[in-house]
Amino acid sequence: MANQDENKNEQIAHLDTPTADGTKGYWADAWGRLVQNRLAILGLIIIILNLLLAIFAPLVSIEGVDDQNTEEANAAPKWVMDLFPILTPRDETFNAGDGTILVTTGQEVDSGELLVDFSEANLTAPVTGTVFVDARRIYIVPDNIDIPRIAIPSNVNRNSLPENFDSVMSGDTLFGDTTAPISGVIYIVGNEIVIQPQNKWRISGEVQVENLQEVSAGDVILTTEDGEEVRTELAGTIFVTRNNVELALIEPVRIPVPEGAEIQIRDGREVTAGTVLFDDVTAPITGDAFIVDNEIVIRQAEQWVQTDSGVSVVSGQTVEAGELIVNLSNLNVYANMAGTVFVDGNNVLLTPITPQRFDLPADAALSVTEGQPITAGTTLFNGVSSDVNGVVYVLDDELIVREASSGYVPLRNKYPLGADYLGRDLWSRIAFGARVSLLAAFIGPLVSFIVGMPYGLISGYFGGAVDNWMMRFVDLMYAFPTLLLIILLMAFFRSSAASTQPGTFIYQMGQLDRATGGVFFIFLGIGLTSWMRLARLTRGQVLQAREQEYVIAARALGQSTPNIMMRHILPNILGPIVISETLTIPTYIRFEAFLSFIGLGVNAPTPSWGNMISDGAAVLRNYPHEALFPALALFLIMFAFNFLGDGLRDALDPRLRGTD
Amino acid sequence: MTAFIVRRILWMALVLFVVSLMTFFLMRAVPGGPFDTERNFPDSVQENLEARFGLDQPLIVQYFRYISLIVVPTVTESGPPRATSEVYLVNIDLPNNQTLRWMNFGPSLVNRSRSVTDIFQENVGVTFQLGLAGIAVALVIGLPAGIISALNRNTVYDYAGMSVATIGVSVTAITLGPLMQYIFGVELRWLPISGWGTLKHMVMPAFALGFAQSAIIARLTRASLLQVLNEDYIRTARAKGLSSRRIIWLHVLKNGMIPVVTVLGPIAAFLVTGSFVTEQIFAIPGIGQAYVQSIGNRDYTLIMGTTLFFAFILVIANTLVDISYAWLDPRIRYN
Repeated sequence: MANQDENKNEQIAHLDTPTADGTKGYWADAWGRLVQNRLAILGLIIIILNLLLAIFAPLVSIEGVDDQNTEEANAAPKWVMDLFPILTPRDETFNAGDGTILVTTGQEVDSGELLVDFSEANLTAPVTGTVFVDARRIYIVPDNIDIPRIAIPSNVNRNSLPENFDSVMSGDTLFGDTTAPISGVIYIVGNEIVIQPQNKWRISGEVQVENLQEVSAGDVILTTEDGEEVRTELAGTIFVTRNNVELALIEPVRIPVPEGAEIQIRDGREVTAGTVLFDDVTAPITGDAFIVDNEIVIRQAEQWVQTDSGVSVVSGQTVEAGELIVNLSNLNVYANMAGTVFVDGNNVLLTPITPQRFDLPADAALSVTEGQPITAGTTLFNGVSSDVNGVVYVLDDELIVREASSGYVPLRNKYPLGADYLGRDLWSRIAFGARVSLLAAFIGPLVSFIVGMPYGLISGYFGGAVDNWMMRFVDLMYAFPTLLLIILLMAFFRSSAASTQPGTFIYQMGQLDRATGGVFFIFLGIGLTSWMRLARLTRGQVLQAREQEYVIAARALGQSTPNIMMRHILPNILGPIVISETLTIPTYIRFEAFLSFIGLGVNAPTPSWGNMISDGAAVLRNYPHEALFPALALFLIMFAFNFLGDGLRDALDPRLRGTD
Repeated sequence: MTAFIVRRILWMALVLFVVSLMTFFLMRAVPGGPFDTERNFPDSVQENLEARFGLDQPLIVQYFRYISLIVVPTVTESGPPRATSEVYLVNIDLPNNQTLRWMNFGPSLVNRSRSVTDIFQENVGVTFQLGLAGIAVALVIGLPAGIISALNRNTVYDYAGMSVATIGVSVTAITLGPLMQYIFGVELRWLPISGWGTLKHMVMPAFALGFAQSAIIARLTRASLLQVLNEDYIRTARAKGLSSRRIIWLHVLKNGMIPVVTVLGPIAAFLVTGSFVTEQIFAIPGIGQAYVQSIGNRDYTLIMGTTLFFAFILVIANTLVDISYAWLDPRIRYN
């Protein structure tokens, strides 16, 4: 026994420890040679950086990797634009909406200049009253109407209260024996229930009131089909619309129309303050105007469509007339680049291309009209012609030709590499994509070592019929087109997992696959097809090694077969196997990228460099960076593994050095 | 040699048989079927469809029926096929208005107006052209680069060639494809970005497909030639006073090509199967696209047909390599 142990120790000592005469062991010697190979070290550094990137991806990403911000879709930062001239900014159009346009046609602006001011469109309270804000609208109820506020005692279970925005009828129970004093909508504000009184009824049955009729509390509004009478609890003016009977809570403005006046507005349409109604009479307020026999009734707005921008009030708050309700100045439009603006109706067009300007002499006879599209060479006036294709703008003493250009590329600097077509940060996705590629790089060889190496070891060591049958099987599997087999295997796994009952093994694997974003089955497919190559190589090496004297000696000493395989043969053939596997790693990375590229790899939205390139290729014409950055990442990692593989081969097997 | 070739052909047949068997049963183990995609058939219609395409038979019967339609030739009356289930790939006219027909890959189960043979005849040519163009690029760049590097070892040509080659092996179709599309298609407008039909359409896909392989060939050629240059028989030839041109053409190149030939098999196979991705990048109507779709559709006959086609290319390529081996190196004898 002692003899055997010594023998083992000698073998190990021979492999990896410095020997007595000071020369280095096999692995230490190989490492020494590897570090002298600059390209291999470069490869190693790239791989380590990638590994760090993959591990710390959540820390280096700008936002959560699945955040989608379509507003910034395809955005590219400035340096990327300089790299790809096609991304340089082009014309951009802004809709002024309710805002005030502050620029005029032909004006040159700097980046950051205010183009459209929305602050004049700010919404202020038309009367003093109480505001209610729900998900869709903002309402105001004037202060002449008594709004019930019911304090919630601290001993009431909050869960038993009616929900926010529930409708209640007067007499309905709110909590305990407290009932709703009026019909309306519940708003729970802090420790109070505030009820927005009902002033709107859906038409069903027979309407008992007329349009513009004044009603007082207790009047019948509707008679339902069951003969039930619906009464109002408030006084006001009735407006009957298509589907509803509404009670205006703010007193409408009534303007008498004299005989023979020519009315300039249409019945039921909105008028803004200042709109001419008839003759020289203008609307005093903004609201819906209705024309009755001898007067115009303007119903002042008491509800507004809720936008998520700048609402500065909360439900139940009492506001003075004129107080700010919605601040729209955050909608202000600022120039996102230096350029020239052209105002067209309610739109502002900003172009970075300097337009052609011509001074118009007083006696100029124009040959073109405002807004006319022209081609280069068209005569503009007095024999002066344009050099460019474009659109003509005629100002007082100037004529401008705006060069026609197309496309729309916003200039934003938020993301270091820009954003993809869904507005997701490319850099973050590349960082997370590194995980998938590196996993492929490690799992492919891992499966090969676990399956292929023992297979080749057994086949080679036992030889004879065992070897023959085992290798025939490998040959057969080898004839299978690898990518096809992987695709078929993945379809098999995915569909099987999706259609089995929970609890089975394949279902568990499906769960694992979903949890990993589709990565698991890819690697299972790659692993199941990758081991054969290593099995062949191992067998070839074992065939050589088993005839060596040290193996014969070990056998003569009576060591067990597993012992000989693991202790004597394996360490001596490990070098070529490691070299071969390292050189194959780029193939695994490529398979994963290919599968994701053709849409059979990881599941969206999990990022992989393959599916990023695929997404980017779809918009290559306008946004090349979206495909080229992930392609660069893929190239770099394959480059790194190729060089590391070359370096390892030179280092571990000096005989092959320089031959390739 | 003849015995060897016969053995190889028998082995090929066995390999194709096993590939077909594995594909068939793996494919049928995938849940779902070709008629699932169409909305809510009544059960009776589903049963009729399955009966029409023989899917109601036991699996083993279906398998042998499918294989026999491909393998067993039949003689029928001449004339165009009457149904998609009667389209044969090989049709040889015989006297007496008879036609020998061979290799019927069956009707496509999803695209029922066409047979798999029709789809092959439309798409395989494209994939073949692409694959051959890729091989041409790989050889035309790879071989001269390797030879020049080896013959001018440690000169500027060698370093330049090998630098490009080491970068080349790290390039894949999906990295090179979009890059070329951007440079030559979008910016310079020299070549069409996608599509198929003219020579111009072929340039970028062939490069995307073949460039990485050309790098492998260049490295291998160089390594192999360097080894041959140190052989004794080269020294002998020099000593005999042969001109160096004669030595290079007759002795170095012929012997140096043997390892290069070994990789041609895998490379050819890779170029044909790798065309999947290239076809997708450049929107080329090849068989690779059809395969990816057929898996999703569970178009059994098309999956089988395509897999057999690719496997056939693979084994043919490997067999040709083995045969050319024996021809190139007289020391290798197959018995």
